[in-house]
Amino acid sequence: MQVELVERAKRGDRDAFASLAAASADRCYALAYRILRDPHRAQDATQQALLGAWRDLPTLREPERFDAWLHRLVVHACFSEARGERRWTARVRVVSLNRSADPDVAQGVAARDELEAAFRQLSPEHRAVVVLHHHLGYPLTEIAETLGIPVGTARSRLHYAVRQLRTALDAGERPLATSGERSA
Amino acid sequence: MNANDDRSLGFDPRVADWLQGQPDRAPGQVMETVLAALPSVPQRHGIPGLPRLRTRRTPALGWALALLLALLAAAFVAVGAHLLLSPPAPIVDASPSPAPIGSLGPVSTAQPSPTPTAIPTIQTAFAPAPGMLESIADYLLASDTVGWVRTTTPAAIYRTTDLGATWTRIRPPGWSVNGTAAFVDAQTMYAVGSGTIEATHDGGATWVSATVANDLIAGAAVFSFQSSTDGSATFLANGPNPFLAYHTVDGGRTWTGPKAASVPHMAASSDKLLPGTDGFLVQSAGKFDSQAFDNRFFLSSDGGVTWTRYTFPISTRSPANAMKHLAAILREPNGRLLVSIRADSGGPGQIPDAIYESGADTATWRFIEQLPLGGVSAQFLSPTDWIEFSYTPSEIRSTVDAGAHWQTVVPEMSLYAFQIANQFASPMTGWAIEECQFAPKAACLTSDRHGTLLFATADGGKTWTQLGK
Repeated sequence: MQVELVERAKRGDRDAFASLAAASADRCYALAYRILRDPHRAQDATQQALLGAWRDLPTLREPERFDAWLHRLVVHACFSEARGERRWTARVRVVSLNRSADPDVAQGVAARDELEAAFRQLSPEHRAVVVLHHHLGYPLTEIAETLGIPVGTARSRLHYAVRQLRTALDAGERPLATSGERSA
Repeated sequence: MNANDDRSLGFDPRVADWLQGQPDRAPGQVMETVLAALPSVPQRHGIPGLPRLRTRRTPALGWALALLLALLAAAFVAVGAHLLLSPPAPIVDASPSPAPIGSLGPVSTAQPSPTPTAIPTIQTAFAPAPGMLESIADYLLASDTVGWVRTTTPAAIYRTTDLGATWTRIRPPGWSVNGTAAFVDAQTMYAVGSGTIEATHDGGATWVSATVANDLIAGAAVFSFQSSTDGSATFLANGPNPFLAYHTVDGGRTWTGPKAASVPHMAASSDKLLPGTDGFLVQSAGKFDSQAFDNRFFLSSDGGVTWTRYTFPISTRSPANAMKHLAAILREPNGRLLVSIRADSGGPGQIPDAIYESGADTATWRFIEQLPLGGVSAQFLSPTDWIEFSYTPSEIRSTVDAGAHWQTVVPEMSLYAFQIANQFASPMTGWAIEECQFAPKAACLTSDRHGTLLFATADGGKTWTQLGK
């Protein structure tokens, strides 16, 4: 069904492309958000990728690989968005006044924050490798194809990125001294 | 390298769990924008846009050819994208003082629209159904009792006359999920119908409809209204000009145009036509790291036909190289501008927002007020009535004498405050919207993390009531 839509869209059928785009938009946005960490930029990257897909669809030679091809467009749109450019995002998020006293929840929040902070320290190229591997489940060969890099480069990027994230997580998981304890 | 090798090498389930719990639904605007822009983006037959997905290593000669093609394609993409997605640069007045840039391109003769028609609709008030307000895309609290909401799922417009206790469904003729709508005041809204611009001045009971040159229009409109009767509708154009603007001074009964419109090109800007801000179209730059900030911004009050250039104030509160943003704008009766400016140096430390008033020549600025740190936004209700929202700590400050005296309200609930700005109709009455992902679970009926929750206050923000739960 999807291949048929792709073929029709390749021939300029806007309705077919609209169906493809509608079916893919959430997945593209999810990918872009995870790489860019910003909803507005993720939105821009998604739009850019979908419009690029429409523009370049006639050049797609393997319709059955539409999803992988689109993911590549999204990742590259994310790189463009992230490359040395800041735009204003006036969104402000505030921590709840009524924070949960549940220690498990608190620890989960802390770990999340640590991961978020560590992830933001990574370059977009490293983030993309992590997201493609951990979120989409891509093996290294697929990641390399999507990013247009050698498998060895994909491997080293993944290794470096995960090591950074683990370091941050492990640091955050060290037990805190209670008020009754005293360090040596 | 097999999957197991991958995992032993670089897979951490904690990272996977963390990524799993993040937004996974695209906002409705994504598809709206893409579908609206499709007609203006031609397909590229026979010209490779991106290298083909490789399944085996390309020989050296192939690499060289691929590189050459990629370079050509990149150049084509850069030029093509600029032509397709960025309007041509307007002729910017080089004088130091802001001045209209001037009309762009050929302008057709102003044409009054065909005879407007008044179409009555029947309105029945009802209590909000559960989930009715969970996909809010646009909204306006226009008075202490009257507000408008546009939702995406389903695509609907609702109006309340009792601060949100009950609602009526508003049905602009021809309006659809892809149609633009703009709420102007308690009685007035505009909408794009099927080849028409619709306007109501009685809360949706009757509509005036004017036909636009549909063959010239390629996409959705952006409305920018200076008053309930004076404003513009700017459409993505289907022709040599990027945009076309219609203008009305009689509340949509007649429109003049279309005139060629554009968005000034600025470095580090997407040059998109953004939704109107406080009646203006606004263009300002983002910032490339390690480059000087383009310390200007542009305002248009005629739908993008002409633009006036301003220079951001420069001071310790607003350093020259810091990226700046107009958080709120108000044009005063004397023609001066009241603006709230946020500056971001890109480095550690936050710069407090500040309020300025433009000089009589609109080329200079007078500093008025520095806002407290802590994630602040401002809203100008009138030249004298302002509201500031501070998020850490949660506070709402208001003044009714242009900042001479302030009243502070500490809300009983946290101001997660996503989009809380611009929703107060008076210092006492306001709306706030949260996303479900930031709200307590009990408040959220939907599983959509981006689902919206609408809250109302009538005591200046001290207590808030969730609407439609």
